[in-house]
Amino acid sequence: MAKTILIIDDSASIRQVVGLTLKGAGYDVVDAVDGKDALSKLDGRKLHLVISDVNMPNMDGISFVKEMKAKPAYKFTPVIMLTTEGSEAKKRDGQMAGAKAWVVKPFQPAQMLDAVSKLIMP
Amino acid sequence: MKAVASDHRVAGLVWVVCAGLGLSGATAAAFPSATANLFWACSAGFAGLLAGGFLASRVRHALAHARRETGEAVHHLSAAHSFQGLDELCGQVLPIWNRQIETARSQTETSLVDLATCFGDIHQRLEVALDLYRSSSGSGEEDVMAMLEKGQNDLSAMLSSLRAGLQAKQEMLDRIREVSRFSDELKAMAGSVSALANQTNLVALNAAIEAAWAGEAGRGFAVIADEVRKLSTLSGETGKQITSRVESVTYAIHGAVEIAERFADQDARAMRDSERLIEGVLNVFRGAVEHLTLAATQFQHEGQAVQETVSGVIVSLQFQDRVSQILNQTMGDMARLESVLNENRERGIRGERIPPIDVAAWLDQLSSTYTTLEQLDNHQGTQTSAPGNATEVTFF
Repeated sequence: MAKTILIIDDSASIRQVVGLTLKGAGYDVVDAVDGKDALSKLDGRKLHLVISDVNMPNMDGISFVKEMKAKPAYKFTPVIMLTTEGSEAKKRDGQMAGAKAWVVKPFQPAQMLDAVSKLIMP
Repeated sequence: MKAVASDHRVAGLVWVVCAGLGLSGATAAAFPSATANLFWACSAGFAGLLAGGFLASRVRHALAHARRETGEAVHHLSAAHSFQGLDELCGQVLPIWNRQIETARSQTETSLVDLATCFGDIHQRLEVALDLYRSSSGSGEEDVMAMLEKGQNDLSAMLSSLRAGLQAKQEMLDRIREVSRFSDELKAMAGSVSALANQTNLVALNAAIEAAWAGEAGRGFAVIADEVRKLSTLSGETGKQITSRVESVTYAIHGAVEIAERFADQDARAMRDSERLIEGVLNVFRGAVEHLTLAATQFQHEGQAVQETVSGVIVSLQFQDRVSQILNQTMGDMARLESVLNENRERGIRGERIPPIDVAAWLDQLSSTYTTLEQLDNHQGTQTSAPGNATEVTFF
């Protein structure tokens, strides 16, 4: 049974390349265009990992992670923030919200898969 | 802002001119900047009336100075009018620029998504092909070599079996040759039997002669001698018959030996031919397997190289996200400028005071919205740092 990963990014091309990387490694992928869209997709489905952008319209990645972590079903779902931002202040925000890793774009597929395999829920 | 400053400068020049002419500061301040040209005309007329005296000379000097200053003021006033036009131009052109950038951005994104889909398709197909190769021939090279080895062993076993058959035939041939030798001995023995019969017949004949010489007393002996002669004749005929049969058997055996020897030669040749043929076929198979193995290895290497290239393309395609963020942020700032200009125009229409734009605060606000290092570099006018190839991953 393939594990499911939720990708959240307002950039269609990023959703595409992350999806390709993950599907190529055998993961199932669900995607959302922003935090609000992602919240609507947390409909009780089992998610083994979330990869989220930070700066997005409607709801940013940090706010989304906070809201997701407030839901008991997703409290322990690991989150990787995938963003162009590399400032320590932003990273701290992500860590405080409950993210487990911070990946700066552009990413190398192999290194992304390595991070995913380290964090994904069994 | 500059228009206001120019107006102030013109008003300042008017005050300077009025002071030169001995007019009060209050009168000078009462001149609106927009009446600078009218003031210049009036001043020139007044100066004409006073020409000829010391005062006139002083006024002429002041007027020449005022002419220069006022000319500059008129120039600045024109600039002020142009800046007002610039406000309107910006109000009109900024939304257009915004839409153009958005169109370029969205078209880039659409094309990039298509490209990513194409490369993703290539990547997946290659992955499937390589998986297929790995699953069907992951140990395929070994499998084919093992199959070849098994075939070689089976064929060697078959050749051994054929050799064993050939050996058995050779042994049978040797036995037949021995039988052939026995038949010669039998022939000789049959000859001996015939010779013994002849001798016995001769002895019986002599015995009959001797019995005749003995007369009546030898009559019984003559009967025996006659029977012995008959038996010897019978033995001689039997010996001849044995000789004849032995000759027939010997002939048949020699024929069989010849045929067997001919077959044995043919079998030995067939055996040698089979060995050569089998070795040749196995060599062809071995060569084909080596060629296939080499081709498969090359295919695997090439496949991996293409996969790495496609992975590199996937990394490169992510530039669109950075470009999109830079364009979005620039568009946002243009929209902010447009909004401020519109507000100021509205204020101007309503006759309200137009607040000056705080450029430093504007730039601070602008830099606070940057998400990439390139944006910061561009803002500071330093060399743009391209994003590196290594992924920066931080685990919490």
